[in-house]
Amino acid sequence: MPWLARLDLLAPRRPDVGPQRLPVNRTAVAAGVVALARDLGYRLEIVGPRPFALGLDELRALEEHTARLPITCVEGWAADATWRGPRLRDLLDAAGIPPGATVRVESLETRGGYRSSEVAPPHARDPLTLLATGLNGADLDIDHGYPARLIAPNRPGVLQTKWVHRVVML
Amino acid sequence: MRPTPLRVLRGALAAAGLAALGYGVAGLFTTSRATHPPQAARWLIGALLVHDLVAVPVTALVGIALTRFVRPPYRAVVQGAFLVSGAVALASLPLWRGYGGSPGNPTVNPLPYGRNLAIVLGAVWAGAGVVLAVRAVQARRRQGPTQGPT
Repeated sequence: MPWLARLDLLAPRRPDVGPQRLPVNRTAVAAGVVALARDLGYRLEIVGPRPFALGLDELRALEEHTARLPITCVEGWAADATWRGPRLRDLLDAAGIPPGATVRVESLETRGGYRSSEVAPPHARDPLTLLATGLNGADLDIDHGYPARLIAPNRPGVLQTKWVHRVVML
Repeated sequence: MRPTPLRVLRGALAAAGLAALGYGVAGLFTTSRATHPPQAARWLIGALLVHDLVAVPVTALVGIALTRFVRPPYRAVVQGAFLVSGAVALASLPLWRGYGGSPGNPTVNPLPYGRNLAIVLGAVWAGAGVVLAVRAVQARRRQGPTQGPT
């Protein structure tokens, strides 16, 4: 009963409360990435047999797709959102990374147990897996991982790496 | 003792349970970055102590006071309402006291929990009031015939 949601007494989160109507586990300030994420010299590196790097404008000029995927947090909440950005597999193909390769997605964070995550082929090659630059019809909020974040189906929220600046073939 | 099938089964179940326990305890200590053993110990032991030394005596004292001031059939209703109120208020205590929030992250604990607690407690006591009224009416009806003309 959505009209009772505001009367909730025991929930520490609301799935629709947050920047761009999505809750945040770790803010950009808490992660210490604000300056790095807003740096105009930001480059996204894709490291594989044919490595390349993209500025934010070039990243946004790539063919974009949208995916309706939830953030499912290990804290116990889940919230759906509409994500927009290039498919991860298109970026991997452009770098010559073979379909069977696992990649590591690295955040601008300099510390923390979840500053990078590994993406195995079933996730890396899924057409719904994006390196999202947009969320719910606007540019990604910095607390949701601006300039780009990983979003893949069937993956815990802590592994949907935010503030991505490097994707490395393993 | 002869090993009967039941004893063998019991032993196997106990061994499986101990193995699972051991696995959990080993995980508690080997992945201490995630489990924080001192905090886990404080929580596990602290909760027992608070329950036995605070929650149970307070509940007993309130119960004793109610036996003095409220008579059956109303006593059970008031006791129940107090128990439910206390349990709800304790379970939601971190939220309405504002513990554990993350400064700079307004998406954590975003609701007016104090007001919501007041609404829940209001509903509990309104419900108790209805039950008390029903019992009062029933008691008067039951008394009715015995008070007829003699």
